[in-house]
Amino acid sequence: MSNFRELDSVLARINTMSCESRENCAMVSSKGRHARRRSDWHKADDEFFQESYPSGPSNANDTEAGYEDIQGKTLKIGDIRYTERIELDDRIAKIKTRAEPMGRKRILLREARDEPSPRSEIVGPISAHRKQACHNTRICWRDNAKLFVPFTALLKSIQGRFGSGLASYFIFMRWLLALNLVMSLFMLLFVVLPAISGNAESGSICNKRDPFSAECCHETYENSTLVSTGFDAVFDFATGTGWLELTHLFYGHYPNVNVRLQFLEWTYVFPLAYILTCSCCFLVSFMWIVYEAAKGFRESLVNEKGSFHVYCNVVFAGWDFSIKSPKSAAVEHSVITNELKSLLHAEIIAEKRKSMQSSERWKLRFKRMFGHFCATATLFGSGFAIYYASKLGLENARISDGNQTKEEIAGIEVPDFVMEYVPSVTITVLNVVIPPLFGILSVFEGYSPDQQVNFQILRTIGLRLASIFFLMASFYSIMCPAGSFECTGTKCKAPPCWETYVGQELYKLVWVDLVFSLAMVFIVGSLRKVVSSAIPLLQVDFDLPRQVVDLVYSQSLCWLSILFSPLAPLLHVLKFLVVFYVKQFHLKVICAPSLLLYRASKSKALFMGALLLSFLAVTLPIGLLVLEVPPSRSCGPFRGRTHMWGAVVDSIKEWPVWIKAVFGFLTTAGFVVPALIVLILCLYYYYAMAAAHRSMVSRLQDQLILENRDKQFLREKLEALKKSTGRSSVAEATPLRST
Amino acid sequence: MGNRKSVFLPEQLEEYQDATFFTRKDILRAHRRYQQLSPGIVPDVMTGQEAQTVTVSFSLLENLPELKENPFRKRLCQVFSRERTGDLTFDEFLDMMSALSEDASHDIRVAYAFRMFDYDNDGFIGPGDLQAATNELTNGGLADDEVKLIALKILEEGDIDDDGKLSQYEFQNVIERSPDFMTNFHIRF
Repeated sequence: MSNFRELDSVLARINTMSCESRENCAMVSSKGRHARRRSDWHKADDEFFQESYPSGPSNANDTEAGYEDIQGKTLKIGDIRYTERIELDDRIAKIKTRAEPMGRKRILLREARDEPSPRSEIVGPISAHRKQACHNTRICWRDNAKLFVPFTALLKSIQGRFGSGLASYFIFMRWLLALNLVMSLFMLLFVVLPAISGNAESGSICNKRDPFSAECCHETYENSTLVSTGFDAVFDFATGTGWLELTHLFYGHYPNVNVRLQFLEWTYVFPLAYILTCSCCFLVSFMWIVYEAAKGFRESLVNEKGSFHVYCNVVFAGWDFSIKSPKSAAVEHSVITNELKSLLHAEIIAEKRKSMQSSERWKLRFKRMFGHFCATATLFGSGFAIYYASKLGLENARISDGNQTKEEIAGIEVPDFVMEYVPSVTITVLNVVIPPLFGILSVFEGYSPDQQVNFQILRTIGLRLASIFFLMASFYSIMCPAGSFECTGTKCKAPPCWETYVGQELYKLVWVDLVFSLAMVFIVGSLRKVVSSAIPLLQVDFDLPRQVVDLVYSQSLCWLSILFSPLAPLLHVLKFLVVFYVKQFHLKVICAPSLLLYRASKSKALFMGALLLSFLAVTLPIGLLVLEVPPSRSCGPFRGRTHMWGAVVDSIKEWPVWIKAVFGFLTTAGFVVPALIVLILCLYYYYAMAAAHRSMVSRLQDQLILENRDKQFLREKLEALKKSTGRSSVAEATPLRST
Repeated sequence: MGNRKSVFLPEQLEEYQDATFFTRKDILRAHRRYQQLSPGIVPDVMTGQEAQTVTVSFSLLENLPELKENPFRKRLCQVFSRERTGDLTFDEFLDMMSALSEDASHDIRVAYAFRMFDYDNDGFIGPGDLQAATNELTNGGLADDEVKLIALKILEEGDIDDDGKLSQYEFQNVIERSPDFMTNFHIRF
């Protein structure tokens, strides 16, 4: 009997040992889970102890046996006593997450309900029931809130047919719709509605003695803008000139004085409102993007090198359980097979590369450098092409002020209307033609498929952003320097209202983008689908990275044009709606099923990263414009000022002295430099902590292996002991659970 | 629900709501789907012990559109059924749908996923289990030695204590590093 006890204590020691290190390991490597309660094996009586060590598969009929649950021990009927005294709801929540059959949970629930909670002694049994009612209404509320999110049924069907990766693209588009709706709401409420409904307080009127004052310039501008009729009016809708220029769509029409709102009897400082609302839109976009990106990071735990399990991820989490149609299932099977095959293939290539000769390695490096050089050269080349095209358009805008002249390109007469579109068409054509060339380039460079996709995406985004930058640069080159007091800027070649001009260019760009994507889907796509039955090579693929870059580009155009065209977010809402349905048609009808596994998590990270990059790139030119460039004298809410941000500065001047002192201090070097140093120190601290945790994890992993070896050693000793004592009954009563 | 006789007693619905991640509507919908599978056997009213006694066989369960194309459907049903046969009572069916629903917690999904991948029910995921799973996933598209190699790679990545098989903790550890698990391992019934 004493030997029996001895064996029991040995077993208890072994399991406590492995539980401890396991808990530690789990504590460090799982995020934010509080420490598991130590199993109090000493407190347990024999029966409890026995039941926690079932003899394995032969007890499969017993629903209590078989598996430890995640918390490290199996919960027994009487064990509710051992749990802490917690409220009924929490207890129910805990029972809900147990991986046990319904019968067991029912018993546990009944136990939990019968168990009097300490509060109920004071308050009475009614409170428990009321708590349950609240619990239910919380569920009811959550249930009903889901009804208000649009497109759920549509997205569910896409997910069933095409998988979660492609569905995440449409979810991303829906999110962009929401973002644009919020921004357009801001602009409508604070900019457009006051401008329409308020009465402008009488500012100074044009004094004939000073023909170059802002008010006189404005009058000249308003009178000189052609309002075309008839057929031209339709063209004006597409180009933004003529009658459209004088509407609230563009910057030029907004008042620069305080507006008196009719029903509220307030004076609304319009210039300040304009600039602040624009900044608000940018701020809200930025915060929302960062929030979504952070959520994505939290969900898809960090891919540290070496701790991301590629094969495990494919086999354990690769099959998309929401697939319903046999066609998609066949596609998914082949996708997973391809993924596994390419993983094995990549290993072979990596092995080969390790054993490459140094001369071959140099050749590869040279090829890659050449590839990078070609890509950069192409970017700059297309950038300059856009710059010159834009300059050409500017010339046209200046010259055709009142005269319907026909411009000439390379000796061929081109009507005015076509000239308007030269910059936008150039940009869009380059955006369509060049990315496939990048694709060929990356194949030539000999990267692995994963890296190829990344480089392709980076280069395409670079192309889009470069085109925007060079466009903005061409506008900047014609701006009048500050201090020139003339209306139309005949000395510097700016059009009379350059903000509206920029707004118009972006408006045209959006139109051309939309028309091109519709043409690609309906015309080119249909042709290719018809031809692909004969020539399979021409099959249309729903190239997810490319589509994402398109979306991100549209959104960056929206952000750019907020300042110049307050109704731009509303236009983009409509555009995204159209694109949503068109892309679904594209996916369902025209595209062949893709053989690449698009994982939803990786896609989401890609979208948010690309969006953030474009957002930051867009804020640069806008920031420059707001802070540095003098607004045009003939139009807009900022006419007469030296720069747009001056509106904010002027209103700050009217605030109490101490606030001004605080702001003044915040912008001096005495504050900024120490703040920067503190931020860098914080960054370094977190980096050091992450490195320390990583080394801790690897040390604990080594410790686990050692512990396991110890356990095996002890087990062998136990076997020897059993044999020596000759007690066969011991083997039945206390079998050792490994791990 | 009007004049019709209610399918469940209110206490039963309360219990189901507490034990699963479903609301009242979801539970009734689950009953409707369950009944559609075999209308003759499953009764309209389950106020007695029918939820624990009436079973629907696996061959009928397979016809659920959500399960039809799933390579793991047999294992899934086996995990939730008492005798590991794959035939499910309504209780077990509800269990399965709840564990795979959107609102199910991470822990419960990982626990059931582990049992699902353990083909030989020995409490561990060994190389044989991994090879079986890979074959199911690729529908026989990979050669035998490739499948063996993949099983080895998985053990290389996930087996922390070096015993040649994955325990529940090692599996949990691996799943935590896997960003797609929560989105992929769920069925919208």
